[in-house]
Amino acid sequence: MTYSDYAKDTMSFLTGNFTSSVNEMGLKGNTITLKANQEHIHDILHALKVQQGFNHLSDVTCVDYIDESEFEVIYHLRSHAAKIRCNVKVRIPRESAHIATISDIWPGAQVHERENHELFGIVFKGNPDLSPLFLEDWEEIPPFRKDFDTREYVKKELGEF
Amino acid sequence: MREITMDFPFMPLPFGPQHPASAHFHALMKLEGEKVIELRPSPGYLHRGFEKLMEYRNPEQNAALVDRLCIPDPFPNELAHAIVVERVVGVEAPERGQYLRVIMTELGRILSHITQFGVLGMVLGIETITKIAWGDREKIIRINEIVTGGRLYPCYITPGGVRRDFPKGIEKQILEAMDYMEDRLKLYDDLFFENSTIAARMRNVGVLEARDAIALGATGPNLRASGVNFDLRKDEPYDVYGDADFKVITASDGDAYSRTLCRRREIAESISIVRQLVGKIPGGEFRADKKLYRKLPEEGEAHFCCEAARGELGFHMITRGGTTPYRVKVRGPTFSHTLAVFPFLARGVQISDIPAIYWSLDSVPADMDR
Amino acid sequence: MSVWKPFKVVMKNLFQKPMTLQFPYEKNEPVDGFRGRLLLDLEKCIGCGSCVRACPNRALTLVELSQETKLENPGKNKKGVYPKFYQSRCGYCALCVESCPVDALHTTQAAMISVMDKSEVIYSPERLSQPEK
Repeated sequence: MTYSDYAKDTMSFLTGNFTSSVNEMGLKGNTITLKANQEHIHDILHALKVQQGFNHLSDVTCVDYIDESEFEVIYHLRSHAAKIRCNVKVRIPRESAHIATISDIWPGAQVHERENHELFGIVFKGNPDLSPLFLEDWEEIPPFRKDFDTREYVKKELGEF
Repeated sequence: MREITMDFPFMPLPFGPQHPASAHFHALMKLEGEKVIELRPSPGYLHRGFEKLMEYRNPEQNAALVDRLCIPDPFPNELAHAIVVERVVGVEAPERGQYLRVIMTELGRILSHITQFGVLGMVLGIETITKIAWGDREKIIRINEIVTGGRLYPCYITPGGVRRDFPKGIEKQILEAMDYMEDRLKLYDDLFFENSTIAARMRNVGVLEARDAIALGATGPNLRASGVNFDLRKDEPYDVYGDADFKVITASDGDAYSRTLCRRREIAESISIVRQLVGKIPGGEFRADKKLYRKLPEEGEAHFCCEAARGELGFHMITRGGTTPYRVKVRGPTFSHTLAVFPFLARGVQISDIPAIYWSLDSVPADMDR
Repeated sequence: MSVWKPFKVVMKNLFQKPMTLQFPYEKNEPVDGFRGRLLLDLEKCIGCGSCVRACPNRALTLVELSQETKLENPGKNKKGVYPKFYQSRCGYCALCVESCPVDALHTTQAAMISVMDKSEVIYSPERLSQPEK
């Protein structure tokens, strides 16, 4: 089976079992991209790992869409056996940003979620340790948000550049 | 366990940045006698906020800064950034540019692995290897200087190709350096790999099973030493890696000795790739027009992962028009190795095994903190 | 591993040339195209500001020359401004050299340029046009 056969297999599995929660599925090369709802994200990712073989979690990315007042969390998965990738995107509201953790599915996800909590302020419910990772004694808003201007911060803290 | 508290019979010990066997990295260990109960890493000494800084600069300026992401191995960072910008805009680099940049990347991979031998020798107490490794690096750094103009920060690969052409006569110098390197590998085998003291310090130390390695996010030689065949140059070939013939090196033990042996065998494969590609460089342009990469598309998005010397280096770029990207996310290979694999391996071991475990994972804090 | 192997390795290394150079008495051969300190040609500069826009670290700004400096042909530079250089911010990437439309900026071989006083790190356009000794 070529990798496009594996990919089409996965896409029909997802449309079959999670019809109401996934939409906008596309395939480009060896990468599937899809959007999912926030309520069922844990079940979708669990099914992708256990039943479809996506055993490698490459990364957890967050994007700040400040004009639409939403955060987008992207999970990058890969299946070593079938050599295909899958990017799952979830939108959560900016004012109350929380999402279920996936560190019970992939233990390596715990540090990715800890980093995103510190830099964006998203709460991953169920993560055992969300203490600060890189920054110490930080009192401003989470620094990677779009309303934090690094050049203004430098002028305030360290004087004129 | 961020503060130091005395909790008899356990003793807290910092494996801190002021320590000859660690570098820009701090971990707090809880000891009972000589056995490590728990290890808690605390990164952040090299956090520069790279991803936020890249939102203020256009792709050509970013290409000159992005090789500071992993300092011993600068070429894959530049290559991954260049290819992801090319995928967002939709214009590929010309073929001569692709050949030149793959040859320099493989030379950089040899440089990074030789540096790792030197550092491992310094930490385990066999300083002869450090001096020999630093002398051998000079051959490749000299080629960097002649081709790109910079010794350690080359600023050579840019979206659209490479910035300068190869000077005349450099192919002969590259092939001589490869012959020299192949000859020196025998010396490393004698002094390091067949040395019974090193074998006693590194065999059956820090054993990582394949299932744990995949669950914790390990990639690169650390994963291949546990038996998993995952090399992005073979599985998802990019640029001209499809034209070269090479093997993927795996081992089956998963201990510190196997990880270092995988790196030594990868040097031999890289030498073979460079020899094959140097003979086949085509003529033509080496850089596409600069103006094509100035205006970024309105709804652009691309994701690309390349194989660095340490593992899978990933870039995800989102653009919303203008000249600067909207969001860039960098996945450093060392992030999962040091923050997820190292505390897992360090539970229950003797404290004198900690340097061998930490440095056989080949972790560079610049990648982890970005 | 045989007992004679260490002797063979020692004998081979004893009669080889050492890999080190006695710096600063012996130096590496200079290479064409090495990216060292910048050098400005005041006669050619037209004050367009391409170098200022190309720099990723904001190491160049445009200022006027001091009163004593006299140029042969200042009419080319309509705005009368020339680049001022912050040497401690430069990353030695040479993007400014590539972007100059009249070829007024070049890189030199000078790499040992540390100073003792922090105010000497800022180079006026006149000092930028003098090569390092």
